[in-house]
Amino acid sequence: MIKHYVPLLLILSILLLGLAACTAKDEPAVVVYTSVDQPFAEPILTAFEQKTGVRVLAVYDTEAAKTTGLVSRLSAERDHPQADVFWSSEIAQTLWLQDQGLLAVYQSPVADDIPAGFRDPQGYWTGLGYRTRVIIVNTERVAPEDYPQTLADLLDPKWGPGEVGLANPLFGTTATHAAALYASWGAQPALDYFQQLEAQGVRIVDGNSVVRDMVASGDLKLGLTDTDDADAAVQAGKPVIVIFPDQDGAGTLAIPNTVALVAGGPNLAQGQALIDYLLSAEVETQLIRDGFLHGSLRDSASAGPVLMAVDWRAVAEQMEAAKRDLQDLFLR
Amino acid sequence: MKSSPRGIHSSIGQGLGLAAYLLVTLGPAAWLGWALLETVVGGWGNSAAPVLQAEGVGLNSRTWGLLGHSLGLAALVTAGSLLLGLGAAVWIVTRPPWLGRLTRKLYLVPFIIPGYIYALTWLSLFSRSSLLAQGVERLFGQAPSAYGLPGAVLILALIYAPLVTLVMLAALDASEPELVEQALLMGPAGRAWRGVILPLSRPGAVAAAGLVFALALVEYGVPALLEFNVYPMEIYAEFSQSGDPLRALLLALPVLISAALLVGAAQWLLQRTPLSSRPQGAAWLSNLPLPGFERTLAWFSALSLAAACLLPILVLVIQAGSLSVVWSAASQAQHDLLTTLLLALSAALGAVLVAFIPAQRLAASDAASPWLWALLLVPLAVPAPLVGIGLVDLANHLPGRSLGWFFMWAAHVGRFAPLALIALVAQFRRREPLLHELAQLYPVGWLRRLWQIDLPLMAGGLSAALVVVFALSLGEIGATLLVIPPGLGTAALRLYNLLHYGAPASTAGLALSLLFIILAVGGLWAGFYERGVRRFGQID
Amino acid sequence: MGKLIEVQQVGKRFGAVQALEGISFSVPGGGSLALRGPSGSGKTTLLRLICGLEEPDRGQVALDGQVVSQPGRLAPPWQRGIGAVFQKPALWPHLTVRQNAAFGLTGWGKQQAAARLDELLDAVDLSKLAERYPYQLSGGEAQRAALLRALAPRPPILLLDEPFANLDPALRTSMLAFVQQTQQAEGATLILVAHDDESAAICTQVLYLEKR
Repeated sequence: MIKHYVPLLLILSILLLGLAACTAKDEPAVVVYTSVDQPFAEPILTAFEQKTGVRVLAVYDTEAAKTTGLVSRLSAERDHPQADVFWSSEIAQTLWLQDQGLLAVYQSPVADDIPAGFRDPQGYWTGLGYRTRVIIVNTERVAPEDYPQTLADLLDPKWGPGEVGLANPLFGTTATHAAALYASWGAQPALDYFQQLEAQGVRIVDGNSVVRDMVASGDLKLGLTDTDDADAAVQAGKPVIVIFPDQDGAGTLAIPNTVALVAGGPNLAQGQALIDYLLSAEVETQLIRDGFLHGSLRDSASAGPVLMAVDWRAVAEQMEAAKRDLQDLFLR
Repeated sequence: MKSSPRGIHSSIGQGLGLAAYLLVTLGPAAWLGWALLETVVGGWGNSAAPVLQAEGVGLNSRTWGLLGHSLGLAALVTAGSLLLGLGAAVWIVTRPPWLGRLTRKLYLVPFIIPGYIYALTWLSLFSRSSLLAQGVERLFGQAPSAYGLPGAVLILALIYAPLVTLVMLAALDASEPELVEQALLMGPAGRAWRGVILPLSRPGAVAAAGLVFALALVEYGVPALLEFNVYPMEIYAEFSQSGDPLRALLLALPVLISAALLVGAAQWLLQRTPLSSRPQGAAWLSNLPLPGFERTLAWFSALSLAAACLLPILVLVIQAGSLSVVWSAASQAQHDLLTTLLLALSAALGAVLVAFIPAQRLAASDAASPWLWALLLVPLAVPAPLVGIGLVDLANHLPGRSLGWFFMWAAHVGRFAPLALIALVAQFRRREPLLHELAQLYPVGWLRRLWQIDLPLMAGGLSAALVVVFALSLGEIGATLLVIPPGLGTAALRLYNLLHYGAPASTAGLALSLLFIILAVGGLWAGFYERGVRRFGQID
Repeated sequence: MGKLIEVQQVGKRFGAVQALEGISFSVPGGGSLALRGPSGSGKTTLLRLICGLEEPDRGQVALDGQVVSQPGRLAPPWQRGIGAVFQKPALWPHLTVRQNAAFGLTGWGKQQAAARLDELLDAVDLSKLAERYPYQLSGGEAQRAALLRALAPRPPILLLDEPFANLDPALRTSMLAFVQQTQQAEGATLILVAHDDESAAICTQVLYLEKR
């Protein structure tokens, strides 16, 4: 009679074994939430494990969750924080978390040489390298003399409807870029700019990697994206060129990675150790070599493109207004 | 021999079953809703309450428009998947038995492939550099656009059509030869199809339509990729601005309400339709000629779904390039794949368990009101992040935080148990009560009665429920991301991460290995099912 | 040995339809009763009440002096020792003829059970079809298999609901003889819903239900 239950028992025991195998072990560990793409972040976290013997438990964010991912999780876990370190691929979310009181102060000793503009004066967060917002142009559809050199060039009437692409400005680095323009140009000029883009038939697509793919395939003539996305297309031999806008003017917007200590996280010492490691020049160099970061913050004044001067506090303050305007403008 | 107060026992059991279902499916959102209520009530005395201060929460002409987009998209997708799914089901039952058996194992593939991959495949077919686009441009002077409503409708209709096929196959399998034979005495085969067979399976179609509608209403990934704005994006946009789950919940209410009303009404209508109760195989249908339109539809659907299966796989294979890429992607992700598999299996079992008692109650036609239907199905429309946030918030109030796996499982069960419910109800309605009752006359243990008689009798519905939940669980990210224990990953999370990273070869490799595992599990299950169940004709 | 069946004042209503009202009768242990009446007079409902598959609205059913059914209280069907065949054969479609019949033989030794099944299969002329599934049987074969399943555990009570209505006359006669012989040999209490005099003749008592 037993044989009748064999499949049932088999299923149950597989599930139980599986669950048992997945429960956590008791050893020194640190929990990091990161929105850096797993293929870039994982080798670095593994190297930290090998170096220190501290196990790194990571949760990787995904853009497909429309930025409702790890930041929401941190906010929801407010009363019982699970994470020690938040490593963001940009800065706006970090500023929001700071405003929500979800971050703790930590001035890492290895961050002394990072310029003051890219770390929080009180030590709530520290920048780690940067990516910039660039224009990516399809070289088969656009002649060299027509390459845009400034953000304002995107408004040139020579670009027809559906030829310029922009990732959804409600999410990700595109939202940060918009808020930075609000802070730097003033709210009304920035809104005017986006209204003109809209009137000209800019295509709002599902993310910066989609801007890159559509420019690479020729579906778009040009678009705004991040350096890591754009560089990947260049590496893959696509017919594209990357342009740093406003090099003769205000400079290109650089968006730093940010690393922060989560307030009340369970493993303080290990969290601080991980932050020290992440902020080291060694990690920065590796991320630049891997093609994720465009440049080092440490020598950003002397090397690389001219960067826009940004007051990140002002950007954080503009964020909500910018998103509301752009929601009304583009989400309809 | 002891008599027991049966009425009381069974109603306590039913009450507990319903409570468990509601707890798992609506618990997290209700927990947030409670907080919302507290805030609102507190807000009357306290002007600082964030929700009452909020401007722009609520419907204005723009958000009404978005809601219209979503409802229109859902309606068109429902119509499209009904046509395609019905056509495919008819095609399958009219094939020679060997081909029917083969296609019965494969037709769910489009539903299992993540929608995002689907959309990307679609876009790469129509991108400017593709042969197709260039060909069309040469012929018509203008390249076709893959973007906008038509593309979104087509893709979603293809993705959801297998669900319709699933339900319709069960309905066709249950159609009684005698009824059709009678019709054949009185007119040609075409009349038998249109007058008897298809009308008899109409309730199945209604059930499937409700399901597809609810899923399409909350879908945002594919529409976003195709640049068609839908209402759920508003919820996410609001959420990313304010970070306030309560405001997101408020915004989700219109979706919740429309989905609940429509699905509840559809299901309620369905239960008033008499259903055939004789379990019969549909093999005899393969000899029945199809009338012209139905034949065209059947072939069109079968070819579309075949293309929907093959094209993404083909594109993935081309992108992956070599077997070693697939192998290395799989071995890098082996832990994620294992987690995914265990999670999907346990979520499928859990969802079926949780939905079992409510499904029995709904199937008893005198008991189920449209309101009960609406209540039980509304969790389908709860946005995924809210489920996750509700669970995290709930966990905050519980001692001991090592329950990570449990919460992840609960998120998946909670999100997908309503689908198991629908599949089970469709099954329970068709069952022959006498078969179940006769087993009760023998003095054997309840476990044996369940395992030897009742479970095999329900095998069709249980399989359908398990497969649907399994497939959806594989692709879940919205809630998983919020509750996954640190250090663990799922294949879907890794897949989306890779997509964003822009490594087409490894993305394709991972997707292919996931697909392979799904097909292997599905094949094992089909073999098991067939050995135990199918040979005596369709049981359900 | 068969059980005494006592039905007292039972009533059952389905929605607006009063299926049974105020029915009382008893069948002594080992006795047999033919239940007759026009269709819709509640014969099947009465059998289902005795089985415990329906709950009476009024009245009670007692077996061997123990009350097993009354409003609000039901002993489970499997504790009543009943073998039943209804109008439809209702064979479990996923089990063979032999497996269908073997389901009730819990607690029987393997050899004992096999011997019992062989004996009965032979008696109802299904030996050659023992490994077939229900969908491979004709209507008459399925009815006999259902009878086989009901008789296999030697139930003290046998309830048959027009099981032979669709058999050809010769087969029906021989099945009726077989039922009568088995019932008498094993001392079971029999209630048989009979639609003809021939079926009713194998019983010692007749109860006629009027259509309401």
